[in-house]
Amino acid sequence: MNQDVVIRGTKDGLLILLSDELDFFALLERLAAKLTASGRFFRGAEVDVSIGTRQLGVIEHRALEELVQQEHGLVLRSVRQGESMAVVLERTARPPGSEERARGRAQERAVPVAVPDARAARSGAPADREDAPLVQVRTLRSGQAVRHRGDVVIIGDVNPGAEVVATGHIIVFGILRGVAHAGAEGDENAIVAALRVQPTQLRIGRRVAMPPENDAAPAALVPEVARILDGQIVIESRDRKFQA
Amino acid sequence: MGQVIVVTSGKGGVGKTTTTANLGTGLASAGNRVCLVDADIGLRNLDLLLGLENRIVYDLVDVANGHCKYKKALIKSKQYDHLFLLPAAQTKDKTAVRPDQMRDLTNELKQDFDFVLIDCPAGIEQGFQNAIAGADKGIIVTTPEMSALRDADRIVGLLEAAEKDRPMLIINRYRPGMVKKGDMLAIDDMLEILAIDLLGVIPEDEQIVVTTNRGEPAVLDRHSKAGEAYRNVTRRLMGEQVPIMNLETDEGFVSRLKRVFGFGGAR
Repeated sequence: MNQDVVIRGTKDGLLILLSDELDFFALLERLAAKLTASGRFFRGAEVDVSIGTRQLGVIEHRALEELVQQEHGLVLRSVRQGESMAVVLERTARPPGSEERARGRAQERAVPVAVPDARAARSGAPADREDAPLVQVRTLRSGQAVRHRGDVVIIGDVNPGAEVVATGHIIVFGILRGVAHAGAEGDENAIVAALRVQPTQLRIGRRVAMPPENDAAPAALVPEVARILDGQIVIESRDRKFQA
Repeated sequence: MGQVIVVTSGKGGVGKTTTTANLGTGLASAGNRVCLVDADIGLRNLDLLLGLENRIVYDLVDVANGHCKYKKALIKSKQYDHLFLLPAAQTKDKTAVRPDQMRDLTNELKQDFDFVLIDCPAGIEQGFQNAIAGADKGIIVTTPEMSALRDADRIVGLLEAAEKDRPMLIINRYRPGMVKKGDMLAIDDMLEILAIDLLGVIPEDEQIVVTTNRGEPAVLDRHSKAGEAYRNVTRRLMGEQVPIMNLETDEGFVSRLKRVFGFGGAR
C-alpha cells in the first residue's frame, strides 16, 4: 500500500505525514492528488504537517505552503521535523487520554511557517496569543530549532547552537545557552525566562542583545527573566520581585 | 550475534580513527572477534594506523556494490588472527555507497564477529549517514574544546533523530594541567552540555604520534598512558566497571614534593 502520504485526524486536528523516502516534489504531487481527491472536505481545516527527518529548504517549504494553503484552502498551523513517519503514526494512533503522556515524549519540533506578507502588513498588533503554547519536553541540541506562532515552553536545556523562535514568550525550564527570539513578530512585551539565562544571543521583538561576559557560572540555578525595559533588554533574577 | 558500534564526532581530527584502531585492537587482545570498517571513503586512514596499507586489494565500495564478498576484502591484522579490517576506497568518494548498502553489510558482518567498529568520517553529510546506518550503538569522540563540543552536541541530536540509542562519550587529548589552570574545559563542563554517559577519558600522549607512524596501536604499549586509558575503555565496553584512571601525569617532582608538605591544592 502506498504509505508516502498519510492524512490522519488527531485530537489536535488534522495531521499530514510525509514519508522520508521519495523526492520531495514527487511527494507533493502525491499529496496534491490526495487533497484533490477529497474535494472540499478539508477546506478551512487547520493542519500540521510532519515532514519526517528530512530538512526543507526555503523553496520546498514555500511549495508546501502554497499547495496546502493557496491551492487547497487548509490552514497550515505548523511544519514538524525530527521524527520518522512510523514513529509519529504509532504515537498518534493511541486512544485519547494517553495522548497527554505521549505528547510529552514527542521528539518532533516545529519548523518556521513563513508569515504571508499581507497578514504582517495588516496586523502590526501584538502576536496572536490564542495559539496554543508549544510544550517540548527535551533538550535542544546544537543545530536543532523550534519555531512557533505563540508561546513556547521547553522543559530541558537549550544548548549552544540551538534556536528557539516564538511570536510569544519563551520559557526554558532548564539552562538557556543557545539563541532565543521572543516576540518574533514585533511584540516587545514578550519575555524569555529560564532557570539560567546564559544565551549566545537574545532577541526580543526587534531588539538584539549579547549577554555580558561572565566568568564561571553560578553554582545554584536562580531563575531569570529577560525582557525589554526602557528600550533595552535586561535580565533580572527571580530573587527580586518584578512586575509582570 | 555481535554489536555494531560507530565511532563518530562531527569535528575532524579529534581521534576517531585512533580510537577505532585502539579499541578494536584492545577488544581483539581480550579474545573477541573484531572487524573494523573504514567508512571514510576517499580519505582513508585506518589502514595506516594498523600498518596494513600495503595489503589492500578489495575495499568497502567493492563489497557494497557486490563486486566481491566481504570475506575477500577483509585484511587480517598483524597482531591478531581474529582482528580484521575492511578498508575504504581511496579513489572514490562518499557518494559511492548508500546507507541501505551499509546496513546490509553490517547486518552480515555482525553474524560473524563479536564487535564491528565503524570509523565514521568527519561531517554530517552522506559519509556520516552511511556510517551510522547499520549501527546499534554510537561512541562520540571529542576533545576538550568548544568547537569540538559544539559539533559533538550536533551529532548527539542527529543520532537521536535517527532513533539510535543514546551514544557514549570519549574525551580525547585531555590535559589535566591545563584544566587545573582553567585553560581547558573540564570533564564536568562537557558532560553538563552533552548529558550522555562517559565511556572514557584519554590523556594527551606523545606516544600516539609514535605509534600511529609505526602502525602499532598504543593500546599494546605498556608504557603509554593513552594506551592504558584505551585498555580501560575496552574493559568497559565488555561490561566491566572500571574507574576513570588518575590522569595527572604531568606533575613534576617539585610539585609532588609541594603536595607532600601541604602546598599545591587539591589533586
